[in-house]
Amino acid sequence: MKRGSVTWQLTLAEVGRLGRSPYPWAAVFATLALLTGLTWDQAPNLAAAAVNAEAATFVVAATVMLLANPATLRDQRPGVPEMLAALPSPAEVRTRALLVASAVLGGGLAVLLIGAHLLIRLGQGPAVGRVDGVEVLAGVAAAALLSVAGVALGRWVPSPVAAPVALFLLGTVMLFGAAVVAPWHLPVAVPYEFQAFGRPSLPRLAFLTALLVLVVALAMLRHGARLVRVGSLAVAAAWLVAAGLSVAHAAPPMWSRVEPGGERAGYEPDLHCTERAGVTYCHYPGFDDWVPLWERAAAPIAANLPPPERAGMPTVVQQHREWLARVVPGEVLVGTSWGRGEAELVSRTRLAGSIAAEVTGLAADAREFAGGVSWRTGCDGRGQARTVVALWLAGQAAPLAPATMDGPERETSPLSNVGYGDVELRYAEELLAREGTQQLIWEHWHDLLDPRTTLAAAQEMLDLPAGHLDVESAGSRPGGQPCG
Amino acid sequence: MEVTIDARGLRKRYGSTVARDGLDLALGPGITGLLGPNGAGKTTLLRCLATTLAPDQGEIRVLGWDLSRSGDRTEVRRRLGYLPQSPGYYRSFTAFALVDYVAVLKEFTDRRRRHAEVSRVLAEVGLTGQANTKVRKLSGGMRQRLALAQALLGDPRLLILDEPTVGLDPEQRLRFRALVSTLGATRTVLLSTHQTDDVADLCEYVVVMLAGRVRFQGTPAELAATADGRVWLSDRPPVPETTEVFWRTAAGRYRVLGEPPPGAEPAEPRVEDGYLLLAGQRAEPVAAG
Repeated sequence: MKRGSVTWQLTLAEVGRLGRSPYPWAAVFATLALLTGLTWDQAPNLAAAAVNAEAATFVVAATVMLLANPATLRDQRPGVPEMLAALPSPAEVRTRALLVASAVLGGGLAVLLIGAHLLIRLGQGPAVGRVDGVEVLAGVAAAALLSVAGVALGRWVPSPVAAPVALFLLGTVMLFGAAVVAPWHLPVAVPYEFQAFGRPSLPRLAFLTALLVLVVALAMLRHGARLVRVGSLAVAAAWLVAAGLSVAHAAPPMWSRVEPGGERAGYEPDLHCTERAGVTYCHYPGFDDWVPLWERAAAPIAANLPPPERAGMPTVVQQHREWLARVVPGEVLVGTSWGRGEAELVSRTRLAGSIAAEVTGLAADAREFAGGVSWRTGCDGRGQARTVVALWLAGQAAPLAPATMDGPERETSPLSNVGYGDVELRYAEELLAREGTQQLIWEHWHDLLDPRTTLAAAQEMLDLPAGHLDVESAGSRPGGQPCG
Repeated sequence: MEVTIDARGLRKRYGSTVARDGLDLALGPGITGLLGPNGAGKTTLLRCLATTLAPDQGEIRVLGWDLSRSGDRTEVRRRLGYLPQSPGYYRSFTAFALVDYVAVLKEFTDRRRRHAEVSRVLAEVGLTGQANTKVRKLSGGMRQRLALAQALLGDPRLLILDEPTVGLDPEQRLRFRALVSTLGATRTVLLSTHQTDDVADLCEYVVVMLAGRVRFQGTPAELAATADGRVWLSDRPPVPETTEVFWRTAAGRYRVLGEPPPGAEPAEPRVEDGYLLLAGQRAEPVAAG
């Protein structure tokens, strides 16, 4: 009874002492500022916000660990053990209080960080995605785990360098091995961008909780191998192994969602499809509010297609990690992020470009079919009339920009990896600025979309000035094989 | 006499110090001074009595509790105030926070009562003005008083103070004496010291330890009396071979312990003389009274 009260009072004192340190708060605010900065130009996706904030709690938990460790070590300072040994409350009471205090502080700050980030994201416009409560709990458990690890280290390795070295080793393991081999077994969350769906949240929560209990039992074991402690340790160890295996079993593949048969991986959630103005949009559950945003890219293109061709409008399909996703003819992929504010135009330009490339047949030429899977390899669309048409269509939805197709920047081509030069861009801008272009294009639609139709031919069909053909393609160096 | 500390056949090897033949000690309420040179085993004895060190052999009963039992040790700790020889400090704590922390560990679970007690003991040692000062900013003397303050928490029935006046200036020492003399009126205080004048002025009882053994137990007057007829004042320095100890006093005369030099006249023995003669001889334990 008395010992319980002492533990409680000591816990309150330790929470106050650890909480008065500016470092964990600075870590929370710095991490929050970083998260906010990184997502500022992204439309709010609460599922991503929760997971990424959970990953960011590692910084806060590491700070608490670095505080809890010296708090434990203060019992080891010269003269202190002698003084404390003559007091009625034994060392295990202090360990217990520090374990609870550090877990409360680490876990509490994790909740604060995740909660604050979610609130900020909620205030940034219509939010999509669903917060996985289990995932958040796993983040809290991971933060508490790292925090109590500082105490356990202090009890077993009474050295001020133990905690920094442990964190360094953990960071090294994370960076150079475990992040690839066993990312779900680490006390830091796999970011949403790497795995949005099929996350093994529940087994991971069980695993982290087992690890937390194990570390607590280990810390207490320093004060003698009592039955309760040894029993807790054994149970936690068994639970840890079972939960660890469960995590490994439930974990989805990390680096490719393309299966040998070209099928989409089974852990993807069902897509919900809706048709708006003749265009079908398929989205993940909870992403309904982004359909109008995608519609701003797709609807102007559909409206500018010759009516008989509108049935050929591709379906807009949401795909997590769309850059790795299997490309299906007749589908245009859109990811789980979308620009906000000025960055929305960038997202819209990309989607509009992809749709325009699909309806003009350029996208099909920019794909390569290998191993049962289509890959976007890109192609050079310079000199072709359909490239101008594709740009004209894309320009209905978003401002046009030069293609930057060099090296790693291939993907920045708004036309889905189809390269184009300044001549094509100038003709498209000319068409966009002119009245009556739509009718003219519709009249020559099939000729214009023929890969053999050159710019010179298009110039005559569309009554475009010949001078543009002499323009050097300064600054644009499309790569790849010619399309078609 | 009520016996509050009763040690029998105590034997402890601690570093190079060994209580060879077993140590017997019985103390009652009041202030007892523990004298002895460095390495005599004073601190080892105090640690055993303060429950921070278990003896290799022997039996200790403190306030009626048997220290070989875990539960009894906890009971003693609840009634004990202990100032170790080299107390440890949490340098980043304030004086108040440090004593408050110890108070929690002393099972003061009621926050208001605990804070009142912390304020009381800080006032007792004259550190009220430094309550919110970080320990690292306190002087050595202030830190010593802070360590004393934590020992006073809870008005303990037994106070064990290992060299408590180290680092204190004369004024602080006087305050310390006043405080301990008040405390000693109603409880058992055992203080280890090298200051024989502290013993003479404060203690009702004195124990002298030499080489791990109790060589004297009695009152300060009895310790002084062991030097009867062996303390001299002389105008000339003695022959060193015939004398235990001598020194030149401020008056220019020589105070000689041991055999009298020619022309010396007897002097009134003091506690210090008795202790020095004991420390210098290789005699069997001297029993007073």
